[in-house]
Amino acid sequence: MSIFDFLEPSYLKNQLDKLTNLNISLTDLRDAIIGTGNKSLTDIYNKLDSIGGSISITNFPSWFTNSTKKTDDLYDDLEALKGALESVNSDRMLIKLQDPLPAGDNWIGKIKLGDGTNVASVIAGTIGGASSYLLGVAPDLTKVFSGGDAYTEQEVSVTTTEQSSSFSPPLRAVVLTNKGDVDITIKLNGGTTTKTIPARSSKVIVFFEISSISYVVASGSSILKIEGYW
Amino acid sequence: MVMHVVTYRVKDIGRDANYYRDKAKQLIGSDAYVEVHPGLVRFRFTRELSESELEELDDFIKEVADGVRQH
Repeated sequence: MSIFDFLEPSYLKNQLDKLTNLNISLTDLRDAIIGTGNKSLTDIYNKLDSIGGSISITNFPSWFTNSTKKTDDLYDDLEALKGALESVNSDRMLIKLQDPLPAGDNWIGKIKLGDGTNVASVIAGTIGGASSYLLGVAPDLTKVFSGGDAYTEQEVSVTTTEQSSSFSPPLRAVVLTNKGDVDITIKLNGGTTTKTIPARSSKVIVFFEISSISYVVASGSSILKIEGYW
Repeated sequence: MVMHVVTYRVKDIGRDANYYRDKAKQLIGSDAYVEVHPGLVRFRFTRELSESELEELDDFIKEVADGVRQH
């Protein structure tokens, strides 16, 4: 027996005719579906329809939900910030750097002491066969040490008779050079302790106050060059 | 600072730099850096001396050390 044995044609037509009355939009059942909080589809529609551009966003900063602020305000603030940044141009930055510096020269590239003595400076020179800029340092350490403006340079003849040179105020740094071929014996500040400066351009550099220098040779004569700084 | 140097050739070197410095202060009213070597006295003033001040210093050095200013 097949299934068609039970489908009598008039019965089948009668059943198919019922489908024409089927409400496929389910409008009668729209509010029959009830969700959480006992809300129907109508409730959802009404809620969405009433929002009308006033959404409360609780996870954003308060500024965004402030009733008096608009996105135009945010734009204006950003424009103001942009203008402020543009106004801080390089010239203004240089001025800000210079303002705290003391009046007068403030060298970059070389160090300047209070009396204007150069400790180091950038100079043109040759290194490794190539011309370049070099850092020259301390042209005269004794002057740097003394920090003074007053400088003296004097050559004196040294004989077998003890003689002396004196300075007032005392020199703060002294370079003594034996320019002759005979050793020179010196004494400083009227003391009895002797120091020998060997012949032929030997130097003695003294970094304490010198008010007098006595000098003598055992035989012959020599030349003592005295460079001193107050 | 520019130093104004005044140098004398002297015959008598029996006095030291302190002596000449003190005398210069009395005569000129200005302090100076002073150095004394055999046959030589040198002053370094921080200002230029007037002609009358130089003449006064000349007279003093001539009197105490038989010295002559170098030009």
